[in-house]
Amino acid sequence: MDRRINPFNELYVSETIRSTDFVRIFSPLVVDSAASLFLPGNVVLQGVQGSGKSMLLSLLRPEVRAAYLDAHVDFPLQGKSASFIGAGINLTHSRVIDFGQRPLPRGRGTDAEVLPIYFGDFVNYWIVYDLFKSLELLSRAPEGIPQNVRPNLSADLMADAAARIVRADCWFGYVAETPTWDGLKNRIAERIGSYLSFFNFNSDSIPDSISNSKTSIGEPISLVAEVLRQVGIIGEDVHVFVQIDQYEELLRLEGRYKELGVHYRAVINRALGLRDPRVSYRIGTRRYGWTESQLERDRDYKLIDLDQTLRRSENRKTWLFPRFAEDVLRKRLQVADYDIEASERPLTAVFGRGYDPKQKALRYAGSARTRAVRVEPQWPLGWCHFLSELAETDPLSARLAESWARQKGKESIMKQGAHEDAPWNKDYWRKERVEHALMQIASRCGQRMIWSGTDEILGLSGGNILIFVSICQHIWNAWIRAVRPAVSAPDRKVPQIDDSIQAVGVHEASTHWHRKVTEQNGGSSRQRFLTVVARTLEKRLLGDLPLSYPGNNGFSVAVDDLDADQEVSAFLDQAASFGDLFDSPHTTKEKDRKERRKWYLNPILCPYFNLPHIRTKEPFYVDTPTVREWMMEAEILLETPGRPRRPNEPKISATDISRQPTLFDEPATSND
Amino acid sequence: MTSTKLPFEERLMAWMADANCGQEIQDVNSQISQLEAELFNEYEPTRGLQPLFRDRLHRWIENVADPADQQALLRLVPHLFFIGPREFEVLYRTAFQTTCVTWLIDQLGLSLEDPLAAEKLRQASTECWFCPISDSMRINAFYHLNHLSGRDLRPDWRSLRAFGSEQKIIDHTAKEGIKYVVLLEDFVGTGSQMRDAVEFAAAVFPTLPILVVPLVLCPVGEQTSMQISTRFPNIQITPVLRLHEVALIEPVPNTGESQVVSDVRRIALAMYGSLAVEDQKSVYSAFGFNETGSLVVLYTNCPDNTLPLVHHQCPSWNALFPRASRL
Repeated sequence: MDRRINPFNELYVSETIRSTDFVRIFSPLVVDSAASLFLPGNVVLQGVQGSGKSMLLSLLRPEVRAAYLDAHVDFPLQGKSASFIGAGINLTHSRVIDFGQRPLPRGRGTDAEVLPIYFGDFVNYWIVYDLFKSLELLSRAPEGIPQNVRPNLSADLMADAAARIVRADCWFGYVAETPTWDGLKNRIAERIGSYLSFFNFNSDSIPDSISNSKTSIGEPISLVAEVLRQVGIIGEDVHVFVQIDQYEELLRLEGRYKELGVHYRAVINRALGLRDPRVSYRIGTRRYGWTESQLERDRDYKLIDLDQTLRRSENRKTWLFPRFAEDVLRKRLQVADYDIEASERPLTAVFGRGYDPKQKALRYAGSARTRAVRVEPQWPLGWCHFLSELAETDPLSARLAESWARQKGKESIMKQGAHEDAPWNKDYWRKERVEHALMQIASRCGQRMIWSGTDEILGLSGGNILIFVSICQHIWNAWIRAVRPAVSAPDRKVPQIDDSIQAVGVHEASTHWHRKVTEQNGGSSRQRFLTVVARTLEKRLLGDLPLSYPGNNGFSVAVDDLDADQEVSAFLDQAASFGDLFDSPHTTKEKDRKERRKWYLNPILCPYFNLPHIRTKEPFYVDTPTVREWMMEAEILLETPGRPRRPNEPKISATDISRQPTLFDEPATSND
Repeated sequence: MTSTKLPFEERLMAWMADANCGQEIQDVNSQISQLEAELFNEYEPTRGLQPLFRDRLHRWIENVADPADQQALLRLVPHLFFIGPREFEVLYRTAFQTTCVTWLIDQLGLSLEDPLAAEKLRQASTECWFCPISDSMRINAFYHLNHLSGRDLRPDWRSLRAFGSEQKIIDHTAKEGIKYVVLLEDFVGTGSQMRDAVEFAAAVFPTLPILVVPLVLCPVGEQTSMQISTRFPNIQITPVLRLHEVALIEPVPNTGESQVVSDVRRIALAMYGSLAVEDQKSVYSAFGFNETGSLVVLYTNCPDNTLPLVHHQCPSWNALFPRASRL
């Protein structure tokens, strides 16, 4: 094996990888948490970039199913959950969003009226064609596919189905002349080809035969599904799942076509709103892409929020992500030919437990350990000597002892002769302050904070599998650079990567993700905002010598305040929906018991900003004018006052705040 | 399997852990890794049984003992202008499609409105003789990339000057119907090599239009070019890429130059001072031939106009890009 190859070079497991590779590296551990994705009914699968949406949706692809059979690996779905045939469209790859990039010849209706209908028509034809392809692929799939799922594509059934399909009104006569299976397929392909030819300026206009036979979204798809069951090509109990991936791309349409995105989304939403039992839709979208609509959750569709599923909750025991990440790591190492069978816990085998806090403090302090503590001139000499001596062996405890003495009402500790009881070592008190103390020790000793070990890597991943794989990738690269493994090694044992190498990889990964913030719509503004917030929080944490506010690596705002300042509220929502900030409700300990929300930086950004990633105790309480000041400092807002929202005034959505002005636009809300 | 870290990498990690410079060193290291993968491994003189780039980097940085100087050398690496094979391909194409074609249009006095302009231009290009000035210019690749044909002989004019017969050259051009001569060179530092060859060409063809195309030209070479053009009206010298002074590390500091440039200048002087006399002679000065101070590294070789601390290999100094010297 070549140890110089990084097993994590390929970050994404989505529709772009080969089906055979998918089988080798897909982890089925999240399948149970997304069970409704494989049962009838419309589903919106939502998550930030890298949360695993496309990976899950890939299970619906017939070629992936066939690849499992070819590889003699159990398909991750069994029983009722496996009783489906999938077809679909990727809104980017299919080029459907190109509608509107070329003006239509003048005819009936304005572009805004007509283009969404063409858009829906293209989606219909694409999906029907894809469904035909799925049927043919599954009919040829190797032995092992459930009998009810394998389509019966006998000549007479295909002929019967084609004859019934072409007779239906929903086509407006376009396929009437092609009453055979192949003829129908070719006619559909011809229509898709005509559209693509028009997009590429290879034809002057959309043919009349198309413009006079535009279909309504969903109708041809439902019809075909119904006919397939009627004639017996698929069983009555086989569901037709239609996936529509990269829905969020409709938000990224530029310039004057931007408003078309709203219409296109309405077209897709209409398909869901039909609640047609013959077909179930699966929408894959990033979190910011799914906004309020006329649809009703749990009635028109079920929502699966992968971020919520995989991010850590209060109860670590029920946290799925560590097992998921471990399985992903195991599979990647297996594919790279490492001997993983021998290690039951590959995460620990590779990354170990990391530095314990005491070791970390010793590492920060280096050879001049007394730098970890600072004493005041008025403090008793004995106490100062004690702190210095303690710092020589245990700088962390010395720093905690220093902070104990700085806390209100605890100064008497300095006058006590012996410190065997060491109150700063009490579990509850110490645990909440360790990260804060370590941050200050690192700063006092001129060191960057370091992260290593299984728990910290999982914590920094923030429940996002792409971030986890990216951290692994950077750590592995750092390991290859640092130890220069032999090209060919008979030893297939997984390496245990030194903590100092992991620390380098983590910082590199963090820098990478910090830069990635700007890749998304409105990302430059958010990156500036993150810098302002991080610097503010860092200053507070470093200046808090008694370690009284160790939770100030996040901030909290009262919900009433947010309601009164929609610009601030929308901006914070947007930052959370892009995954730059993590938000959650905050149960305040203040007397007023006001409802609050709290925000923390995405943990992977913490190494870049030199902030602890662990959340503990109370965040920094701020009001909306303070957040507004941060936004002004980040040059997101130019004016100070936030106007309360008037009754019945629509709320600014997270997507509106990032709306970028264009040459032909009306002035926009953001100056990004 | 244990992870035994290489000593240099361990030192690099310690720098990356530093709160003041850690992020910058990490960024520089990432850039170097990227450049290594994309470009530096293309360096021809170190192909075969030579240390890998990363090993050469370790040894090169350890030429100096002071950690601050070591960091300065590390910071210098992303500033090196490494021209790899793909960059050369672009230079070859631009040299023909832009520089030569524009010159031919001028020579022919072509009007864009002339319906026969394209045909006349195509004809003129077949009447050109594209030759290298020295053997470092890969004229074969230039012909291939620009789909040029019809010239069997493409001698380098430095060799012609040494061994060629002027009359045979004149006879050859007459026989081949050559009306234009284009002389190309991959890198021109001071222009001294170019001057000899071009003056020889001017002597052979006192009236034939001659275009000289340095693919990369240093500022001092530009002065030489102007002198030649002034002396010989039938010669035009047009580089594809002109280097600006800020891309050099010259003996005299430029106003507003970055800290890394100042640091490297100091290290270059100290390094030169510590060299044996023969080594000092072979590298001409602390800033290379004629004190050019170039930071250019070609994938084919490192020019002697580049700082010797980059390319000089001797018992007391390990090169980052060891130069394959003619002598």
